[in-house]
Amino acid sequence: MKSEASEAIVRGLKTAGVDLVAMLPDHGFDRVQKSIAADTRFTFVPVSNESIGVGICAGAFFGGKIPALMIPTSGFLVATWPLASLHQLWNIPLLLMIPYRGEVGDAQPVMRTYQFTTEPILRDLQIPYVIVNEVPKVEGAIKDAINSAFAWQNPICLLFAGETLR
Amino acid sequence: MKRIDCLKALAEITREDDLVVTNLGNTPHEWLSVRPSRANLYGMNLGQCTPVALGLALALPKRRVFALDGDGNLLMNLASLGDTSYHKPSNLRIIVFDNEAYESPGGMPTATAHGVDLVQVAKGCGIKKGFTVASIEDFREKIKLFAEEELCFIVAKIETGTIERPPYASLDYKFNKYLFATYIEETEKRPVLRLSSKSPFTS
Repeated sequence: MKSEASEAIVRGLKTAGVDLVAMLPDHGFDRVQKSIAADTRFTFVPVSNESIGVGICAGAFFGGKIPALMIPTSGFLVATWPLASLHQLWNIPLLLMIPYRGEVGDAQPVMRTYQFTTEPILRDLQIPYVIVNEVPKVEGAIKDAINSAFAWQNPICLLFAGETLR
Repeated sequence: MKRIDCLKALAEITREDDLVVTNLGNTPHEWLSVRPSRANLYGMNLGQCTPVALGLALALPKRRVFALDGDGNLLMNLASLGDTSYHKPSNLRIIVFDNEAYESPGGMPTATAHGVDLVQVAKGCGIKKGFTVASIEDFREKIKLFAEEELCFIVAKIETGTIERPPYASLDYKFNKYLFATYIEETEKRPVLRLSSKSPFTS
């Protein structure tokens, strides 16, 4: 992920009031992870698998936090179980942030499959999503996602792609 | 040892403002019967009871949070003990009711029936205060430690079986959500639901 995009993500999270970030890192989020871990405005919660992160964010919501979950594209598949059995069943808000690997031009062979899984599963889980592929749109996308997540009491996903990743 | 007897003992030492997260299956029905409260979150599905309690404990470090987990539920996300230990929230107490079976779907043995020791796993993850109890007397004794400000993990070895359920449940998940969220809003004086009163498209 570009350093400009990483900085925009951290600014956007602060502007939107996000105060707890659970994360299992992806290569694209290494700068974001370091910035959030070092910033006392965030409760930073590293997790061992993505489904644990979903549960922690649900508990944090009930405690009055505005949580965000940052996970790899592949890890979204691990997160689907509690996103369905917890967030969808209870109508719990969540900002889900994923570096969207597997787009055409991504030379990493193992990422190809996520081009076919990510968006269909988001639709099946009834999680509205936005593909953010320009750095200047990052902050606004985060603010909008938080607004809608709480207004609709539903997870909202931002997929970071295009120039935000390269 | 029966779970209902443990829960009755736990209810005796539970404060009015203690927050309690339960797993799915028989535990929520039994806990509701001994401690009905808006401070209860019932019915976390497999692998989610301890993570949800952890998130709650991190968000509200001045409130005591109890996870009433089960062996099958915890086994699905054993790594959550490692993530709990990373933060070691002093306000979190985890009780695992271990009947060595997936009781609700028919009773197939869990891994604890074949030697998995959850307290040793917790200790291996770095949770120092962990105990296995197999009698109600020992359970009563160990839960006294909940008065201490330290992460605590108890595995209660119980027999299978439960109380008779009423014909209808008194709440569903969404009703539970709003009861609990508004309870937190009232007692913590902070927003939880953050429902919008206006839209940027119309204001």
